Amino acid sequence: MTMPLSAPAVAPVVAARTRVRIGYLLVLAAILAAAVVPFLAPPYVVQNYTRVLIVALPTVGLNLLTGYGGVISLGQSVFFGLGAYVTAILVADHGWAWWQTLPLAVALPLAAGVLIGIPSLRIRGVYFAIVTLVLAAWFPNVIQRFNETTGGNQGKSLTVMQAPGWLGLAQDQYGYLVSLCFLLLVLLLLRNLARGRTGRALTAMRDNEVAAATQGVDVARTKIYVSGLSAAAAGLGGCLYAATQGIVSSETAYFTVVGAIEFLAAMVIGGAGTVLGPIVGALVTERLPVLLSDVDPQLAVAAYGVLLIVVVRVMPAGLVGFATTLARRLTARVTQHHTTVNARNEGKP
Amino acid sequence: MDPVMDPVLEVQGVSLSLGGLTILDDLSFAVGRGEVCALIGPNGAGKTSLFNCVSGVYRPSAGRISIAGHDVTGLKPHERARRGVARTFQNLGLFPSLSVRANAMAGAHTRLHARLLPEMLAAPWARAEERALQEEADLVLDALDLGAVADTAVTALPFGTQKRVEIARALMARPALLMLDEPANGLSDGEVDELAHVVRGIRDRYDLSILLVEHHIGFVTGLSQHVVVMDVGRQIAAGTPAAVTTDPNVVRAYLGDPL
Repeated sequence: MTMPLSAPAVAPVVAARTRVRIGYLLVLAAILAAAVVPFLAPPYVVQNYTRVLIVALPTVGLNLLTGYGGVISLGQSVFFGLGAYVTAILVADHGWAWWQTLPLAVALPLAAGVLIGIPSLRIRGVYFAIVTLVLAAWFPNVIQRFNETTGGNQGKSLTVMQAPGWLGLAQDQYGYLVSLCFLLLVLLLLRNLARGRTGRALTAMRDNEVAAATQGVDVARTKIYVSGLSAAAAGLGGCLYAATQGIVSSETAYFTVVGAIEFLAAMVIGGAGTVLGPIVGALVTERLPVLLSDVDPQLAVAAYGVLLIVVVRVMPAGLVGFATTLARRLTARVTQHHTTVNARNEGKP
Repeated sequence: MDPVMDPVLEVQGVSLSLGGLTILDDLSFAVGRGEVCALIGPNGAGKTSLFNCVSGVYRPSAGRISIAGHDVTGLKPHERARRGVARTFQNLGLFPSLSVRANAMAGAHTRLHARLLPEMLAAPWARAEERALQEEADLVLDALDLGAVADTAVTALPFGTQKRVEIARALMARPALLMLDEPANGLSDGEVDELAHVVRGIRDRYDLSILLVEHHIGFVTGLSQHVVVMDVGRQIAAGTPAAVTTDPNVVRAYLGDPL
């Protein structure tokens, strides 16, 4: 049984290795660049970048569930909000330090993600999207309803995280760097997950649910677990949001449907199902409107909409997916060129 | 029905109705250990529906299905996979976003021990398990002559090659029962002979029992010890290939007059 092979098998392997090496270098450079931002930019810009890092967290979680697993969730804002209120209430009213609230601010959304997933993910189809959309619409009302505890639309203020004195960092720099560390940690954990058994199972489910099940993937259980993990990442983002911004309210856009849609848009723009897509997407959705509104506030909204349409039409795999394809073509061409040149040289007497 | 010793698959009185239509009607047969059993019959006879009942995609309306002596009638598809059922699909059930190798590795899902936490923390044993699986996948791919395309996207391959990737994926599950749904579909005569050789090879090498749906009658008679003939959901004949292909009922319903 033979099949036609258009290219020798060696070239793709070499190209793949080159690509991996270039990829690691790029990531390393990006991390270094991200680490020096707070020392170069003015505080208000640093705060804007801090929000990029924080918005990336629910987006990374969503990417696991929606990008890899194909389950559409419109409720990341709820889990983000849950994490934020756990931190805000415990810090403001009970005297906890922000980092002491971390386990709870992650565990509560995780449990909520699992509990919501149990009934709605056992059924195939759009039920989960609808259930999460309803929750997202409802969440600000719940905050209002319990305004003695939550501060309602007046908001709840809390002391923001302060750098320990020996570090010699300003408050905005510290908040940025803490957020960066947590984001890198979450990225690393989810990348590990995406590369192995669970990542394969998620992609398999998205591609062909029946075939995935007959390979032994417990589709419902996997979706429920991943729904919990996705919510936990959002909860962590919420915790950091409260601890760096110092105020949360029922009108904070990130806790409403607007936030849920921003997280979804960030995932799509950056590249669903890619490891770095959510970061790029969060950078675009958080930073671009700010940059554009320096030019013209009206323009910002319009340009954002146009960008979304262009990306969806031209780059179905998002900015990162597009860049990866481009890089793959380039390295393939370079290695092919080398192979031909070498072959030609060897042919010479 | 002749008694089968030590059956890997037992189908007992299985019926299936979907939307008021009777798809399968009181079907009974068994596949013995190490045996290749073929299901033949005209289109619409219910062969693929029976596959779906055995792999748990459909729940039969009556009857019992047992794997290696255990009743699995009430089990979900993923639970049956754990009991050693693996299958291919008539119109391909591969995962297009995954490479050939990753598709093969996906077949071993139930055999891996790493779960969420060890995976996230990249526990050394979880990574070792993954590496070992990758090597195993490469061996299986080589055995099916797919080694050269291991890193290729499955969608870039011709139909017949994709069908072979499905066999590789099913083999990676180390199944007791391998179900092949029209593996020779779309292959040239030479390729069909090669495939028969490959299937015989993997049966011996992996100690498999095989249930086969196939229209290519030469492939069926050359490979199987036992043939079940179906027509409109019922079993109309069963026996050795030689006995079945000369049965007047089978000739009338399916094979047509001898040339």
